[in-house]
Amino acid sequence: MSQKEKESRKRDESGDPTPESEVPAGAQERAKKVQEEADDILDKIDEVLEKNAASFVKSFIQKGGQ
Amino acid sequence: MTEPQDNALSSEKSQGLGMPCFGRIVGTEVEYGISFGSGTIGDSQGEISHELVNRLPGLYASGALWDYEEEDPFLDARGFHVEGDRERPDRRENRWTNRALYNGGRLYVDGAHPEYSAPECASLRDVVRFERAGDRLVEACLLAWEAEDPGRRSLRVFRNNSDGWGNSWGYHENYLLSRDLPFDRIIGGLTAHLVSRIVFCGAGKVGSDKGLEGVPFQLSQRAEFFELPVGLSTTSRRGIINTRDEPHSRKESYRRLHVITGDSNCSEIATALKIGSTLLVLWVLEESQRTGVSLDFPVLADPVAAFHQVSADLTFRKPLTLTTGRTITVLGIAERYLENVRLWFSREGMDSEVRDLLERWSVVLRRLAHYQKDPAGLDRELDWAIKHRMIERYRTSRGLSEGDSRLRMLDLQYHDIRSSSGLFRLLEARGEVERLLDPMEIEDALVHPPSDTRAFFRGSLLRRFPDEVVAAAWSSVVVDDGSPSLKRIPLSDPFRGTQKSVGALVDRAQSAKQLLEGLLAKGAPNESSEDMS
Repeated sequence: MSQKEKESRKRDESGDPTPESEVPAGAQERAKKVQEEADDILDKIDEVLEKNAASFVKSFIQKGGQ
Repeated sequence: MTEPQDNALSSEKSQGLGMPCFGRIVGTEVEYGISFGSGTIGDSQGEISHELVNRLPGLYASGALWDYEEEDPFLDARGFHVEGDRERPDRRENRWTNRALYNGGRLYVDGAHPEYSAPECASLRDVVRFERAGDRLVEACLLAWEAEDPGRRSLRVFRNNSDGWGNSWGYHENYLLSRDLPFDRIIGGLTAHLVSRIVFCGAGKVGSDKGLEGVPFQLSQRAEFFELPVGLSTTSRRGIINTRDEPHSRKESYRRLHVITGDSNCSEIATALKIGSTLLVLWVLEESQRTGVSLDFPVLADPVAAFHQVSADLTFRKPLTLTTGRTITVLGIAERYLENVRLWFSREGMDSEVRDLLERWSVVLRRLAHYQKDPAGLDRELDWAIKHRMIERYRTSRGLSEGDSRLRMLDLQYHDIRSSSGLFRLLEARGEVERLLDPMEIEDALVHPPSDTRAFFRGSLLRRFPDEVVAAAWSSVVVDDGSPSLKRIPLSDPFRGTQKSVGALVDRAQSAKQLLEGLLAKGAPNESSEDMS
């Protein structure tokens, strides 16, 4: 188990998540950063996603296997 | 020809199944989907699959053949033999189809798909590690194929299980079990687990292969393709419990349960949960049989309908009917399995690996119960949830409708094995999914076999004596020791042939002949191998 995951589990089991009113200063900054990272990933997906998606999924027909 | 007797590699005594859980033996198989960059492949699928296997760099396998002598997939665990042609390819065809790998596994073509059978593993970590090593091997084939293709075509290889048009290919798990566990007990005890476990180990799928309306996303790639509760065939009319009785080991001691309902997970955590939970359920079934203790595993009234329903129900709330007439939710079933298994181990004692696995299993079920409100990290661990989140994020941000073909493309490409274009690989590289392994552990598994099963002997021998090992199979290795006849070294016990027992011998031997002499000295003289003349 990764360290990150252990931490998230600890947090998870310590009780309810912190109510929004108690979000410390700087949280908005972090939320913004998370959003930017998410957008960044979507842009990265766009870069590698097959450009011919419509014809690709139509043509992708396999012989049956096990 | 002499029958093999006790030696370092095969024993007539049943042993090994009393070892801790992760001393149990598991092997998994992954079939890959392939296409050209346009998505099409048509009738050349089989040919290209062969070419891919044949592009495997020499670093990973020698010229040894696959030995089909001991294969018989037509024996049914219910006690009969089905008619069918056993595969016996000639030398050229054999080589064109197979690579016996230095890591102890096998890369080959099955039907028209490239397939990787991982070596026998005795720990969950190894199961995950060697499966991922298979993707890396196929990726190496793919890069070599593209580099040598005169047409400069590009290829796609997917670690998935359906094409969206009603064709499926497999992911198979193999569990070594005691022959003492009657097959009926497996059917009764395991079926509902195989149906319910897709809530944590489904790989996720956009739409339906059967053209079902109102199913935008499913938990499982494979569930729709199951038509029977129990069956022998793996390619049509598939049964949730597969009855193939081909133990690849001593039949009187072992059976190899062939589980064909699973999806090819990309997430290491989902793979570990899939195999780990199933191992524990089987272990408890086996032990309860031995000790005569009764279990309270749920039994579904209509497992096939339930499998389809569970896959399409992302709320986990739809009721399922048990043979008792009572109804239960899929999470109710999953919790009953967990509770039975936990009760068993708290009574009988458990090691830290079992404790960790039970803890993980229980946290996942608890979080699934509240998934709609808060995914609580499951969308970083479970394939269907990782994929669903990715697709929803993309769809919302790009303003796409439910039927947009880019959603299906995202689904397919999630399984693309290549680091440069696979979306799971992309999310993983960006820290968007949780991992179990260090990438270096995977690299090691490309060339080195597991140390604690017979795969160690097979893989080490292939690598150490590439010119003398003529052929390999799961349960034997055939060597040319320079004498007039080839020698088959039996590997009938999957627990023997480990690094601990034969590592020094393999290291010391300068030739296969010396190795054979060493084995004879260690075991019963003159009878460790069969003379194949």
